[in-house]
Amino acid sequence: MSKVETEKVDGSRAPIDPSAIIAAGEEIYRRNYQQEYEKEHRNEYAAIEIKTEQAYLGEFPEVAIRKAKENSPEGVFFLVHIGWPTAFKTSRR
Amino acid sequence: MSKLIQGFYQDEDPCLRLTLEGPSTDSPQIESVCGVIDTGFTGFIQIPERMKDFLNLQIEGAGESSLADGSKREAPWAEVKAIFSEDTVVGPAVISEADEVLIGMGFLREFRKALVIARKHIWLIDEDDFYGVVTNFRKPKDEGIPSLEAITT
Repeated sequence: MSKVETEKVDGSRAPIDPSAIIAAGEEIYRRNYQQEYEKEHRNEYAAIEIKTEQAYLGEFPEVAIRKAKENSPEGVFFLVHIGWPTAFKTSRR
Repeated sequence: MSKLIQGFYQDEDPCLRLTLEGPSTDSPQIESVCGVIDTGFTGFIQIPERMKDFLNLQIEGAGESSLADGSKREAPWAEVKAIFSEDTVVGPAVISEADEVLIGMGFLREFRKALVIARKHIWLIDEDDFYGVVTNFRKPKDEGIPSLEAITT
């Protein structure tokens, strides 16, 4: 079982390792989506479900995440801001 | 009827009070949380790890976040229920090692609020009402500053 998979034998969720989500998500994004998305969806956000590798696009982070959760309520997602180095920006720590 | 919500300054930071709750019906709640409005934060809300633990939130995803100094850090998020001014929105809360709550641009988008920051006052106005008000403003080439009445009525 990879670090990203979360279901325990009893059906409860195990803690999720953010580093593992980011590593897996970046690899899926590079392999399946980056080339097309950076041409056609620049500045949008993509929430990528790690297990199915399905991507959900949105104009804003919360929109992409909501769409992803509607389609896969139990999914674990990697968020990317298309054409940008990070998904979020913040001016404070 | 138009609604004008007042924020406040705390240590020179513009702040709002809100209530946070876990997404399920029996989740614990944190009332009267002071959140710093950070218009440089592109997400919905950012909360400290201890609040995530208290609210029993589950990490549902992650990305990265870049800070103003160019550094990057992991940005895991969990779904949280934010209650503000009689409205409730469920959105992604970025979990941070920092000890403060940040309110980002996603919060204003989701609650459909326009933000007005003045020297001593902070207001949030329903977006639709605000669009109605700004149509009465003078064009940029005109001189003068709109009166308070123009903003609040």
